[in-house]
Amino acid sequence: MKRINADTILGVLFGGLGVFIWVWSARWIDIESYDPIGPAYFPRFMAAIIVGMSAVLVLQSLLTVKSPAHKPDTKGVQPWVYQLGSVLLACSAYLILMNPLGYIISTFAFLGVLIIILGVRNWKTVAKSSLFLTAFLYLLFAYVLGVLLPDGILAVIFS
Amino acid sequence: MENLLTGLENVFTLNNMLAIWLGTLAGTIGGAIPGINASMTMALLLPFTWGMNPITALLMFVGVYCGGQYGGSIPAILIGTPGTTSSAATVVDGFLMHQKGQTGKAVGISLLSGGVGGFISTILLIFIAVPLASIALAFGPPEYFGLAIMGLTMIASLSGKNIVKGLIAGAFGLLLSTVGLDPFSPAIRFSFGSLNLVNGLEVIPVMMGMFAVGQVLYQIRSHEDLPGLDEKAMTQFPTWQEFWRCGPAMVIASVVGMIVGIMPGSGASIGCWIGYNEARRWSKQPELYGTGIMEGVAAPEAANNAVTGGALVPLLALGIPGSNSTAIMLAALMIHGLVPGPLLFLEHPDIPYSIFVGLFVANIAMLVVGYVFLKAAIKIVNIPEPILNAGIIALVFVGAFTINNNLFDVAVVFAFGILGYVMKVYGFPVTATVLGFVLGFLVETSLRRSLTLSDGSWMIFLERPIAAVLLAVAIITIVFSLYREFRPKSKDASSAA
Repeated sequence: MKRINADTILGVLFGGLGVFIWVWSARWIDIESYDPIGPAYFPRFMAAIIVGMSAVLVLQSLLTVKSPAHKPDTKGVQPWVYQLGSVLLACSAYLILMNPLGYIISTFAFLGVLIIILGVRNWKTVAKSSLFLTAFLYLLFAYVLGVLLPDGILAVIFS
Repeated sequence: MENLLTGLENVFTLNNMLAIWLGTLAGTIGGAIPGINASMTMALLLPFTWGMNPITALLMFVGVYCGGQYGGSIPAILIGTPGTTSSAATVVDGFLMHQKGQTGKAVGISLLSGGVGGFISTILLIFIAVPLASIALAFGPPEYFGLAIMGLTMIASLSGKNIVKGLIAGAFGLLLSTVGLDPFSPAIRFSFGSLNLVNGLEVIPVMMGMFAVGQVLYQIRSHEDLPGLDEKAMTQFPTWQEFWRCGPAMVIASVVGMIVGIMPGSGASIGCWIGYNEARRWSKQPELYGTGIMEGVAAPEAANNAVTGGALVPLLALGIPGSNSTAIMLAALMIHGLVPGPLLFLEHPDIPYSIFVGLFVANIAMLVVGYVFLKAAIKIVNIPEPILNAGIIALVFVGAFTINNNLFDVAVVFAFGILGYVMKVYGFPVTATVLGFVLGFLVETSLRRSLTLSDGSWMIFLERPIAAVLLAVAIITIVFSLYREFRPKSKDASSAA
């Protein structure tokens, strides 16, 4: 029984990426260069390797019954999926909010949320850990290394 | 000899000694924490090297490298979980010794054998790297192209279970290096209109993302509750008699570890097992291995520390990193505008010779730090995993921000963290992508310079014997790995049918 698995999908995705690179690189073919092959040659060379190997990966996955790398879960959605999704969301929110809120507030909130997501339920531990880590990182980078971290809404206090 | 004296002068300054000792301490702690290894500790420390003198930065990494190998043995012995993959073989006898109540002797012999392995490999490093670098001086663009391709294909084939995925990962890494301004023309490649991408992707965020964030995300997926460490465990050194009894195992494993370290793509995680097996093969009582004997701890620990000297041979002599840790060292050199390889021995001989001396000092530091800080290291290992992982992510993000005071680099870390996670889950070797990215500039410029010399003819790679041999090795590696890959599966398929 031949069936599609994760490797088949990844093979198709990487193959698609290779084709995209090949097509996108066409815009640099006519650019004058100091070498005879030009700026499009090397990316296209890599794209060709990726397409070729992706085709092999797809064939390999179709010729084997089980995916060699990933066994699909049949027990429904695992708790780590929610945990991982929440971590990714928290990271995205941190990236968006760091400038407007400032490093100190956003990092304290980010660390608190992250520690809760990762499994700590005692609020005192959460508060103490996020406060200590935020203070440690801020003092290390802002004062010891002299990095200009975003002040955000605390700019009034710092200015 | 004169260069060695310069190396001694460089290392024995307050700043550099501090860098080695602090690096060794950081490496020991990093190695002792399950899930963190020497390369991840180096990735976390990379942003701190920005304002450092290149020698100081490299000496700190040498310390981390040595400390990380020993640190991994602490949880391997105390909780039966290796702190790093390079200490996996230590679990076999080390954990049994701990269960038999010989914790102190197991940790003690692990520390001493690590020191022996480190010293032997440093001596061999000096005798191999210098002559190899003088041979490599004759290398031109075709030879460098062949060398980089050979290193990359060996890593792609050895670092993963599937050569096809390894090659895709390596080619993808090479492709990532083409982002930004082309070195030979005014073309700006793959910037997609973003000004942040015009100068290409920064090495530090890419590495921190793939190694540190990717690993943390992966740990969330494969979460296991680890038992805490025994805080009462103390370093109790074995007697001289016991130490001498382990001598043959240490020497055999050290030489094996050194050889494995020189080969690109192998590293300490393979070296510890080969060292263990070879020591058992040559032992008078091989049947005792696996029952909790001191030689069974001494061999893998000597081997994984000997790998450090071996892995520096291709990095320093040829400019080709053979492992994650040496790739980060390469990045640290590149940050300071230095290119490792034969020219480094001519233009900046103080750097490789300082590393040679630094490696000696780092091994001494490892012995002292390992002994003094064992109790402290155990406490740090006991930090709850959620707090540790949250701290790592926050540290990596702020570290990336420091590079250009720009949130774009933080976004790069995040994006490459997700990529590293996905690659780990689906069996694509992250090392191949990272090395492809690091070597990409060398590969592309060497290829284009070679083809400029030959007016676009690929025959130049066959006309130059060294380049031809190196490329032949690369092709043989791929063909052999593909053959190995497809042979057993076709049997399975036929039997399944």
